[in-house]
Amino acid sequence: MNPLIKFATVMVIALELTFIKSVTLNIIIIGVSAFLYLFLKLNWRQWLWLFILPLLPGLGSWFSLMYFGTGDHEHMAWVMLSRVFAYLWLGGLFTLKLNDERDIFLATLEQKAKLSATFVYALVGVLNFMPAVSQEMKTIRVASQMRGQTLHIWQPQLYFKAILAAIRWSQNLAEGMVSHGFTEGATRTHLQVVTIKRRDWFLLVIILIAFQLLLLPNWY
Amino acid sequence: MTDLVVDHVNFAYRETPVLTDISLKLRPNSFNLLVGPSGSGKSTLLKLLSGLYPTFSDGSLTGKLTLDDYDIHDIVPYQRVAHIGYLFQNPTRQFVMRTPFEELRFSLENLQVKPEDIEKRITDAMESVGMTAYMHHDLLHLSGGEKQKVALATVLAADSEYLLLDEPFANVDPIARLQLIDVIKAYQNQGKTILITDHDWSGYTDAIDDIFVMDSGHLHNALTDEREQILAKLPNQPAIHTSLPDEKEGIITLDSVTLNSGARTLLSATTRLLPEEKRILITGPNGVGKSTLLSALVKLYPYGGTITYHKENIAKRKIAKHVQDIALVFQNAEQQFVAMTVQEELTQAQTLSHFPEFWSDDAITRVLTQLNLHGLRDHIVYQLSGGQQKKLQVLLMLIIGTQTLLFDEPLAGLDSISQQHLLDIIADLTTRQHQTVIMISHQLHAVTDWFDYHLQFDNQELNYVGDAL
Repeated sequence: MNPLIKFATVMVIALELTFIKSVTLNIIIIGVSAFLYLFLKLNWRQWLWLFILPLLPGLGSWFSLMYFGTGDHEHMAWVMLSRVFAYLWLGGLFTLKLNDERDIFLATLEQKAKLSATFVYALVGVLNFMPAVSQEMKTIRVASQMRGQTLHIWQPQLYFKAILAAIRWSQNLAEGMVSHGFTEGATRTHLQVVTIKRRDWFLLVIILIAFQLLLLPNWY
Repeated sequence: MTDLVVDHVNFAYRETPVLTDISLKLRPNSFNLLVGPSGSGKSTLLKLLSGLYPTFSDGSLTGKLTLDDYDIHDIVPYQRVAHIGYLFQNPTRQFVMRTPFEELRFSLENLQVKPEDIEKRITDAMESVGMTAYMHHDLLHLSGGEKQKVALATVLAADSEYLLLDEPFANVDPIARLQLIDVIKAYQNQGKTILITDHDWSGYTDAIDDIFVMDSGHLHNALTDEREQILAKLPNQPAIHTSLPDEKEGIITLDSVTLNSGARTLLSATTRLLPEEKRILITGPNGVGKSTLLSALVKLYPYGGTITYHKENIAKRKIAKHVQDIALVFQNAEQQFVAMTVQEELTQAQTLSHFPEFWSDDAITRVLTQLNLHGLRDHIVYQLSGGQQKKLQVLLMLIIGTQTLLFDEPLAGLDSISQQHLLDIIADLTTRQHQTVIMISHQLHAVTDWFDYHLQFDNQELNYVGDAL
């Protein structure tokens, strides 16, 4: 499925979840997501994240509603807990595969969603820079240690150097893009033309209809 | 063929003039060399010609740079690049994408090349620089020389009429360098015009049509004797005179040390010792792992086996303490700076020097003058030219006086006089401060008799070579 379509599906469902106070429905969403994860072949670390990440915000709202809430607070406590899990597991369907699908996602944004190429390639540049950041921080620290100066995590100079590096890097990126002929607002050709399959649109519609049908029994 | 014309151009940063009254017209379909000392304004001229300046600088420009009577600066980038291709001095600066393939694709898509032609142009360009095997490798993991080759492939693929190359071979090994000059010559033979800056004049004898000399912002056509001097440089590999070490102990020892980059083996189990208070040269082709080895010695890169420093296993040494004894002079000078201005950098180094008694203000002024950096004290370090940054960086590390200094191509991008001055200063100071010097260099003409020992890094092996007994 094209990642942009997937993104749209997930967003619509997530938005609707916000207005539905139903534990059952949340659990159904979690269940369906879990079922889909079985096909996505996650590694154990990703599973661990899926369980741990929602725990803190989920339990936080559960406790505050359970013990300090008013009105129908017990029901709402469970709704909130399950909702946090539902959001994250649903979102995970999109984000956990994003690394593999990044290029096609960005290409779809540029070619189909008609997002400005400047924005898309600035984003590409930033994403490409991410792995270099931690290495750069390490290098900055060691480089200044070599100059006899130890920069600790709490020292502003470290961040000053890091910000300076980021500014230099963004200037370089801008210069690099222009020197490669990148022109704001100009048309570009595309080696890979992104097409969204009819099947993807079909799936989007089916999933959303199915979800609306789930709402019929008036869970909330 | 379009006409590229520079007409009475002046360029200045604030009050400091960089270029003064420059006029230049390149003959169509010619191969031109632009020479001149570091900081004389060569890169600035190229950046103006490429249309990147004055937009990406805070300097002020008078005079005209035109392409067929259109102001270069006013032409939109995708049309401009179709006419004028530009290669940055520092290759890491110009990459936008993650892999060479994506980088070239990005450029060709910007130039609105037809999709069906893109792949062929990428393959051809990468083939001409001999980098096809690295098409989908992460650019972050390529060596300095390999990056320069990819950057060159990018401008070749763009198929511009004019090609402006700023020190394109500074980090390229000597054999690959001669091959690349041939590649550029072949490109010229397709009817293109080339303007190249290089401090190493060897290998151009048969390629060059015109030579221009830049001196403190003034440009002139090379005089007959200047021309003869430049064209006389032969591309032969100079012989390095070193002996084989007979020391039984080393300041650094490698015991079954291995290095890998991803799935690629760089160094297979090697046991070597590096003697104290000597000058040791490391040479080898691009991408063989020379910089990686230096990074491993300062614990910035993982390795297998055991490395010791003064018989202490470096794995057990805290990095903060370790690098007080053994420091790396980075290939990229900017990484070494900790302050903003030249003076602040010098003061910082002075206060933390291991040899404060040597480094009086007078002593520093003397060395600054030798290195031609004296007038730059209040300049921002990031705005110095590539060569000036390099000289300053080396000086700062010498002032600190770390016991062992690892130099990663300190001579790259320096003119031969600056190279000689820098080598003299390194030799003088490191002898006085009893330092051990380990240096990677491709600039062998300058160092034929400078080193004590010579380590050759090739085919995953690291071996001493030497002609004297």
